[in-house]
Amino acid sequence: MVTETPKRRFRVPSRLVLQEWLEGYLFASPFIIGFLAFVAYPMIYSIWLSFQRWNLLGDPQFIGFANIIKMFTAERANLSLYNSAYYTVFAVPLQLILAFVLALALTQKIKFRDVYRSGFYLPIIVPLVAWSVVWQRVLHPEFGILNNALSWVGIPPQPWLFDPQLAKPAFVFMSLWMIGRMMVIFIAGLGNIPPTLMEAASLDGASAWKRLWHVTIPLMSPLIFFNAVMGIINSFQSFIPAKIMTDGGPENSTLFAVLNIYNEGFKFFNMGYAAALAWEFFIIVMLFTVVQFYMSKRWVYYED
Amino acid sequence: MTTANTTMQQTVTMAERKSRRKMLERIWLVVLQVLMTIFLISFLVPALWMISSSLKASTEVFAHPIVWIPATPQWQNYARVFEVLPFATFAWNSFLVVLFAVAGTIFSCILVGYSFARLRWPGRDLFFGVLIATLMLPEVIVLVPRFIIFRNLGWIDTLLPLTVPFWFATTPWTPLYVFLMRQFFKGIPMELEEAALIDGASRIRTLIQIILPLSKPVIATVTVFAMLQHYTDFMNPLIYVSSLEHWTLALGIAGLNADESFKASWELVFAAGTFMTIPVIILFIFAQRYFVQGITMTGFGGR
Amino acid sequence: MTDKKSTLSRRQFLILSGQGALALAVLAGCGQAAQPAEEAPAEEPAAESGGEQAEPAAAPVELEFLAWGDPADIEAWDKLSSLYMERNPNVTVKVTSVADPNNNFYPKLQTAVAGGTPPAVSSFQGWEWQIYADNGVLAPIDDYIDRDSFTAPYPEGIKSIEDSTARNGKRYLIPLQLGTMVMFYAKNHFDEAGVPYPTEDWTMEEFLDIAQKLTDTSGDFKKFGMQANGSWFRDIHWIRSTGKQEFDEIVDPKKALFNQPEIVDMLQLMAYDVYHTLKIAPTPADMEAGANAIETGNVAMKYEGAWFFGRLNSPELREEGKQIEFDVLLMPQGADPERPHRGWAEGVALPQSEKVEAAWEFAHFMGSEEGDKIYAETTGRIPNSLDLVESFWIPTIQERFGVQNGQAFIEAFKRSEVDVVGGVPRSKMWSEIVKPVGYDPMLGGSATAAEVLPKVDEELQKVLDEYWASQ
Repeated sequence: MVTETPKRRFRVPSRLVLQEWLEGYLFASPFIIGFLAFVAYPMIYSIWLSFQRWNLLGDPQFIGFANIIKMFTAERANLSLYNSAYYTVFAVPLQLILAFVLALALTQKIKFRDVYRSGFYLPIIVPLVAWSVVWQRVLHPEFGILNNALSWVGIPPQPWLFDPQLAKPAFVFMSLWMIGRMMVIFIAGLGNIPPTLMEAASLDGASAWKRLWHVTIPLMSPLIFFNAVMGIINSFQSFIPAKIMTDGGPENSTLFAVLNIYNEGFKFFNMGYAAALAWEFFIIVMLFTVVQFYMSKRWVYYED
Repeated sequence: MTTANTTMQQTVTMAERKSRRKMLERIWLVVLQVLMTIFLISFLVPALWMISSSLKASTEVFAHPIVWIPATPQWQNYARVFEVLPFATFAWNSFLVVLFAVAGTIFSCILVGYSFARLRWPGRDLFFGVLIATLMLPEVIVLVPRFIIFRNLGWIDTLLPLTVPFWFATTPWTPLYVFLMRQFFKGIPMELEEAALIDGASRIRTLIQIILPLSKPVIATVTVFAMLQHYTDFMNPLIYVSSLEHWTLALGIAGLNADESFKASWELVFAAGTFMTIPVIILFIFAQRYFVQGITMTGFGGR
Repeated sequence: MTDKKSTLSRRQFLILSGQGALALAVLAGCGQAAQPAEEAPAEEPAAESGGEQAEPAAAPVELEFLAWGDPADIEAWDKLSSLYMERNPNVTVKVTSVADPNNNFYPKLQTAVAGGTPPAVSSFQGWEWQIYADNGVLAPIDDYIDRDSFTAPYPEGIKSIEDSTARNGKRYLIPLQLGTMVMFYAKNHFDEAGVPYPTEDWTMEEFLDIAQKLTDTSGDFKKFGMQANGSWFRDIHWIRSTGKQEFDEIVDPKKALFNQPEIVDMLQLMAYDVYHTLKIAPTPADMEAGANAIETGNVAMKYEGAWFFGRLNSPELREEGKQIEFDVLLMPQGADPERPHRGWAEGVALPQSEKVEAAWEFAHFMGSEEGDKIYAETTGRIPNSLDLVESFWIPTIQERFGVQNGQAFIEAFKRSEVDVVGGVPRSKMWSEIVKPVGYDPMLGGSATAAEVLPKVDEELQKVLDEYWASQ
């Protein structure tokens, strides 16, 4: 008697299963096609493009690694990365703190909480173009309301968007108005903390401050982490305010990474170089995110 | 000195402490309320300044000391905005973009979301992973090559690049909505569809007649968010549209701000900005809970 | 009961095939770098041989005109094309105007040319068309000029017109406007300070002296003697007034020569000192979002062109009592005894196509005395021949804008030379190098001319060398 080792036999899937496969593809086809045509193909094409010099007049010219070398050595390219990093490093922690503090405040038993929540969320939905145009004038050295308000406390008028030292801090300051999204997430998260936990802590004699540090924040750490990651990704990609308010100036101090790529591609028509810069940017952002995920294992407290 | 006396003393001091704490709490809440109000008002000052300055006379713009509230509201500033640049055309273009892009988004996200949620097919999980990956994809990586592709198609300086890709659930933004739909659909009990399928209904019938009516919350949320994002988008119109007759409102405001003749007319620039913001505020007032819902569902929200 | 599950419903099939077709179209389009020209419209091109097509039986022609999109221009294109189409019923002129705020005019033209569908007629500034001519994109028009005796816009002896319209012995541009810039001065500043108006023979020293006298930034309402332009193109006037030029040749430059002592001194003055040491001009910070400018009444003198009239004084402004009374005069005398001013022509050129002859007829109409009068009247720009300027334009601007010394424009134009043409487009030189490396630090006060101009030369030389090596 021969014992057959059970082989995995390929069975032709039944008609029903095939039917479901077909429907699956069909229904998902917009995404599949869209991804291939508008995401995968462009990304691969732009890899090829990185090795060309092309200004849309005439044909692309193969130039080997020249764009890559330029991207690592050109002062402007590295400056743009520095500017974006500077902005992100200052803006995101400040935003996190402000959003968290506001969320804490708005989960206390004060009245009209919804009004406050809506109010703090409002700047996010104002079109950023309009918001930037207004802020350009808020920061106006002579006729802007920021300098006007500062003068009430004796601070002399500052040339915010015209001083290379002040321009980035001005942008960081402006970014604090965009905490609505983070705040809403924090509020939701705070609402999920079981009140029994807080009561137990206070019965144990913990002061409000200690409760905050040892109970609230650890419990909120996944959301803090999430907001941090999203905040970093968004800040790094900031484009509209710099484009509208300063166009990268003064003296390239607000030339952020995406603006630089835009300029190279659509102002100077160095298409190949812009493609290379975009890939560099993409890789940096991806690395950042991966690193953050690893670091999160240290300090993010998950409930398992 | 009986133990009864000491216990009573202790109860009294405990009661004192409790009422003192309650009073402190109340004072603290009042202080907090005041602080929040002050903070909220200062927070909204730029927006309020935009609205109030839109009604200024041109002489009040560069006045010393700075005019916070105009003497008489110049409502004609809004009419003037439409004269200096064809803002009516811009508004129409914005409307068209939002209409077609959001329609495409809803269409493709429902279909694709359903496929990921309910149908089993080889490669599904792979593509779902791809979908998640594209959520994190920076828009900038596809900017240059897409421009070249659309140029080859002859779509530059039309509204097509701003609408057609979204019928294919493609970045930016739409993969997130696919994800939302999928999560939501997964939460619907399967029995309803199974019953219908057994009765001989086609997939698409079950989708339309059973799933969709139950999905109003998620569809509403996606619609609201997509409308906001397409309406306020600036970078894509900037890249793809050049002629004045195809500008959207976002380009109109930027154009007004950059134009030598008009950028000094702050009252006009602010009027244009307010004009563009009003529809969004209205949407926000009516659809507020979808905004909040959307954020808490996903963590993304608005930008 | 039919087994519905085994067949694709018709609807699903349509969805699939529709998307598939679209996907194929997308992928097919990607592979080609340029699409072949769209099938030519069904009309026959007008006969190539000479001779007028006056009969209404002439073949229908559609001309696409890619036009400059300033609001005043748009109105002019409307009038001109309607009038032309009335007289030539077989011709349809389709005007596409592109507004410049997004710097999109030339990219759009580039796209159309690269895609094989160039317009029949395109607007051009006098220094931007050369690269297209060099690439064989534009049709030379010498034969048409001779045939139709269209000589008015091309007077002998004015170098700026030569360089703006012709290249390598062939003519390409049909001018619709002349351009030059002179000194504008707001009379009230002089009146209030008791300073006499400047006269034709004034010098640089006198200019700076007047500017200082008219500067007073102590009060709430700041007054400045001059408004510096803060850009290389406009400062070219000051550079050339030293007798030197910033390139070896201004037509097809091969060497960058910013770093000469005279130029260094001049740019140090005009791009740095006037802001930061002498403080006679509002800084970019002062002028943000349109504040502290000559048109807001804060500045006494500015180097500007004819397009600027309406910003200071116009019938509309006079109605509201908001006008600023001003006049113009030649720029002060510098080291160069010739006292060259900047000059150029702007107009239209004809991309190569089968419709060149018909395109020429339309462009010729626009540049003719009749057409150009309409253009100049509608846009306020300087007409394309000095006769028209004298006979028609000067009286007009006197009446409309209060300009008494319009003659200054003629004088300036007679002495004019172009900025720089050919080879690398000047817009590229400016936005990629001269502005970020040279002007931004100087305007910001963080570096002097002596520090930045050597770097400007170095970077520019690289770009120039790269360009000429690939020719």
